[in-house]
Amino acid sequence: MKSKMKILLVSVVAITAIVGYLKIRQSADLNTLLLENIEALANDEDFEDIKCIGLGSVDCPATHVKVLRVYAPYSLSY
Amino acid sequence: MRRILYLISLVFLLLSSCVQKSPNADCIYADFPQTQELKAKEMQLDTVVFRYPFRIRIQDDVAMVLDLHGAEHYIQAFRYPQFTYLASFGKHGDSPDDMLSAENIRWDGQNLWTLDANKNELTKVVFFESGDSLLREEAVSLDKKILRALDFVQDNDSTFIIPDYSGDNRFCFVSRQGELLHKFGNIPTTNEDALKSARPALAQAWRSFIDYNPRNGVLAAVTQLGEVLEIYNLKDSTHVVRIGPHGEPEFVVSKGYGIPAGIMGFSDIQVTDKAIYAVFHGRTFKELSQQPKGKEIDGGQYIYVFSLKGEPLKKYVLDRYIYGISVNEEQGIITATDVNSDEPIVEFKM
Repeated sequence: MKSKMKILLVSVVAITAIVGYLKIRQSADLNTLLLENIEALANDEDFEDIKCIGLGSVDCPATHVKVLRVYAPYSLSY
Repeated sequence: MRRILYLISLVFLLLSSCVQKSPNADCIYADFPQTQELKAKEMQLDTVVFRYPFRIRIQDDVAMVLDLHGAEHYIQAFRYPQFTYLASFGKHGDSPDDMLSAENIRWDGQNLWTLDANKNELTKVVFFESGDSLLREEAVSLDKKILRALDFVQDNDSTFIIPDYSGDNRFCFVSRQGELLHKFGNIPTTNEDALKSARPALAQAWRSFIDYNPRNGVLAAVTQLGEVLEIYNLKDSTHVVRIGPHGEPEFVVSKGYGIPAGIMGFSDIQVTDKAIYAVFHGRTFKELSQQPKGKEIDGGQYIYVFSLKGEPLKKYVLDRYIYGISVNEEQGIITATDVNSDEPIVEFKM
């Protein structure tokens, strides 16, 4: 009887931990996606918010011209 | 009760190990066993003015220089080692024979291949020694499945290896006719979030420069951001990843695009018969943006030398900032391009 209780207790803890982990992951994914969508809706389709500065070797996403720096004030960190 | 606690801690350990994958300790290098300072010798050019000398390729007595922002032509040929001007190629323009951009140049016997990413085209150029001229011989249109060709090497007479922005794989094997044959390799990132939800941006951030030595089968790639070296041995199918102190490429995402953050990493790589040489910058974009206007210095002050297996061997500290290199191991000479100077070709004695 005692060992059955132990197994039950371990199972409950394990299930709770797995469900908790999955929930956290799902909400993180949702948050990222949500933020990207909000950002996409907030901006037009042009590249006004992406600034490409100087002559260099970094690919400017807007024009594919090689520039010194690319700057985007409204962006998500990864 | 102890057993219960043990089982609970085991469950948590297993779950936490799934959350974040940390890089294998074998991949990481902290420093180089040897450091040597090198002084540049400026090569005197007679007439040509460069805007951004990005690559230099030397073969026998001819040196080709790729000017990334060439006003009229992208490629200039010089007699080596005198650096007297011979010819120009790759006129900037919209006509079918002109080029819209130039990513790299590679010798192929007496011929030269160039990659125009904006036209999605590889062009074969013939160098006529007698007339000191460069003539376009053929153009290979690349498969539209290649999402912007970023660099190229030749595997043999019938295949090109090309990294692109798709992010699905690291490299594309492309036929001599430009057809995509197959892809291979994966971005060796530990950033699971980016892999899952921002793969195109991740691929942009992991933009790499490559080189291949058919004699030893070593294909090496270095990242433009961060500090990652990857070595694929195509002969024995081994793959090595080396990550330096600055870590993986850092980026932010805006409108689905990968915007560079963190540091400028490598800008050129050469695989010789004995080692791998790579130009390293190591300055943050913040530092670069804080330079006084009109006095910005671009380029890398270091040449890192790795073994063909990726072990760090030597770090050269240079007296100037360079971009592209051509290493001659036999003569112990590194010829380099300097985008900041009016004398843009320099030589270092190793």
